[in-house]
Amino acid sequence: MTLTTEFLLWMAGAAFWAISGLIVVRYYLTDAELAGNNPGGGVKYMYFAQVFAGFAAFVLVQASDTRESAATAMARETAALRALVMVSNAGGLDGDGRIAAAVKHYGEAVAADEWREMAAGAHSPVAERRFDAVLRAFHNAPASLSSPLAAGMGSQLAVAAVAARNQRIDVAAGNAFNRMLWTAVGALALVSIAFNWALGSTSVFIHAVTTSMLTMTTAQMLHLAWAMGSPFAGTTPLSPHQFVALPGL
Amino acid sequence: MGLDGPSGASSWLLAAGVPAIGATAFVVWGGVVLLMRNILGDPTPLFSEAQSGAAFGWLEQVFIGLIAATLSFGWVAGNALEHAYRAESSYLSGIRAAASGLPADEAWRLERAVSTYAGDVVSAEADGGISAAAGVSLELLVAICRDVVERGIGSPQTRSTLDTLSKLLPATRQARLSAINRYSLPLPPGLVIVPLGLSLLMGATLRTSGHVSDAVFNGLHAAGIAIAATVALALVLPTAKVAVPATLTGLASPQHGAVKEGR
Repeated sequence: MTLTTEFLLWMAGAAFWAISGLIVVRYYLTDAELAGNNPGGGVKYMYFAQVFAGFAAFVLVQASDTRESAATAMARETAALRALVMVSNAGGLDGDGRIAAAVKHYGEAVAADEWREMAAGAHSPVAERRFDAVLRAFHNAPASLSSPLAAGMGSQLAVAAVAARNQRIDVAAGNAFNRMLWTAVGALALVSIAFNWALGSTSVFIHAVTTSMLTMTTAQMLHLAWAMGSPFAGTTPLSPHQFVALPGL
Repeated sequence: MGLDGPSGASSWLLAAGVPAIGATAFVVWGGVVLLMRNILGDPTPLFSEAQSGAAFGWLEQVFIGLIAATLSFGWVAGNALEHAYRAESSYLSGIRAAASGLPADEAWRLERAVSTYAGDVVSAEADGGISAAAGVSLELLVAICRDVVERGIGSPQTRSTLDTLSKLLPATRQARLSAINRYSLPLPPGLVIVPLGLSLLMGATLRTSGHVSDAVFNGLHAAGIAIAATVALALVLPTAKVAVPATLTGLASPQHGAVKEGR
C-alpha cells in the first residue's frame, strides 16, 4: 500500500465515522435543541479541545523522537561497524578478512531478516548470531602483528556497535507506555468528534461538512503520528540501505 | 522471539485502563448531572452561564498547564531512565561479547557474572530500591574483568574492552539509580491533579439545552479530564519497573549470547 492510498483511506474512514455518528445524533436531536446546545456546549468543547491538543502535541513529539532515535541508532551502528573494519585492516587484525566478511554478512542479515522482525517489535535470531560472529571475529583475531592502539580503538568501536544495536532493538520493541498513550490520544480524538455531533449549524449540510473536516484533520494528525512513531513498519519505514552498504569481502 | 520486553501484560493493562476510566467517568458524571437536573431542574437561578464560564475558564487553563507539565516531566524522567538502562545493558552486552576472546572457563565465569548481575538488576532494583545483592554481583563482575586484564588472559582486544567497561559499569549503575530517584517527588502529584480535576467538573457544569444533552456534554468533559489525569499520573508515578528494556531482560538469561555458542 502506498502512502497516498493510506492517506486516502484514513480520510475516507474519518469521513465515514463522522457522518455515521452525525446521522444517529441528528436523528434524535431537534434543530431547536442543537441551537440551544451551542453556547454552553461550545465553551466546554473549547476547553476539551485544548486538553486534546496538548495530548496530540505530546504524542507527535514523542513519535518524532522515536523515529529520530531509530535513525540515529542505525547511523551509529553502521558507522561503528564500518570503522571497525577500517581499524582492523589498518591495525593488522584482519589479515584473513574474517572481520570484514562477518560485518558484511551481518549487514545482509539485518536488511533481509531483522527489518521484518523489527516491524513486529522483535529482533532476528539470525542477525543476532551474525552479530555475535562479528564480535567473536574481532576479539579472537590474531593480535601478534597488531598495534595496541588498534586493539583499543577496535574495542571501543565494538562496544559502540553493541550500544547502537541495543538502542535500535529497544526502539523497535517500544515502551510500556506506548499503548497507553495511543489509546488515550485515540479516545480523546473520538470524544472530540463526539462533541461536534451535538454542536454546530442547524443546517445538516453545513454540520456534516464541518464535522467531516474536523474529523479528517484529526485523523491525519493521528496518521502522521503513527507513521513517525512506527519507524520500522507501515508505508514509510526507515530504509536498511546503510546495512546493505557495509564494507566486506 | 526470546526477549520479553516491556510490551508485556503491564503494557496492555495500562492501555486498557484508559478507556475504562474514560467510560466510567462519562457514565458516573453524566449520570450525576442528569439526576441533579431531574431533581433540581434548571440550575439557571443558581448562577448564569456567563458567571460559570468566567469562573472556571481559567481553572481549566490551569488544569491543562498542569497536565502538560506532568506529561513533560514524565517524558523527561522516562527518557533519562531509558538512557541509563540502555547504557548499562550495552556495557553488559559488551562484556559478554568480549568474553568470546577468552578461554572457555574464563568466558563461562564472566558470562555467569553478567547474567547474575543483570538478573539482580531486573528483579531487585527495577523498582528504584538499592539491592545489596546487585551491588555484590557488580563487584564480582568488575573483579573478574580486572583479574582478566591484570593476568593478561585472552586477546589484547578482549582485555581492552573489559578494561574500559569494568571502569564504566559502577558509574552507570549510579546513573540508573539516580534516574529512578527522579520519580521521588516532594508532593504526590495526584494531590494536586485530582482535586483540581474534581473542582473543574463541579464548577464547569455549563448548561446546554436539554437534560440529556447536558448529561452527555458533562460526561464527555469528565471522560476527557479523567483520561488526561490518568495518563499524566501514570507517567510520573513510580512505575519504573515497566521501563526495563528488552535487551537487559535478555541478558539476565544465561542461555543468551555469543559465549555459549562459541564454546
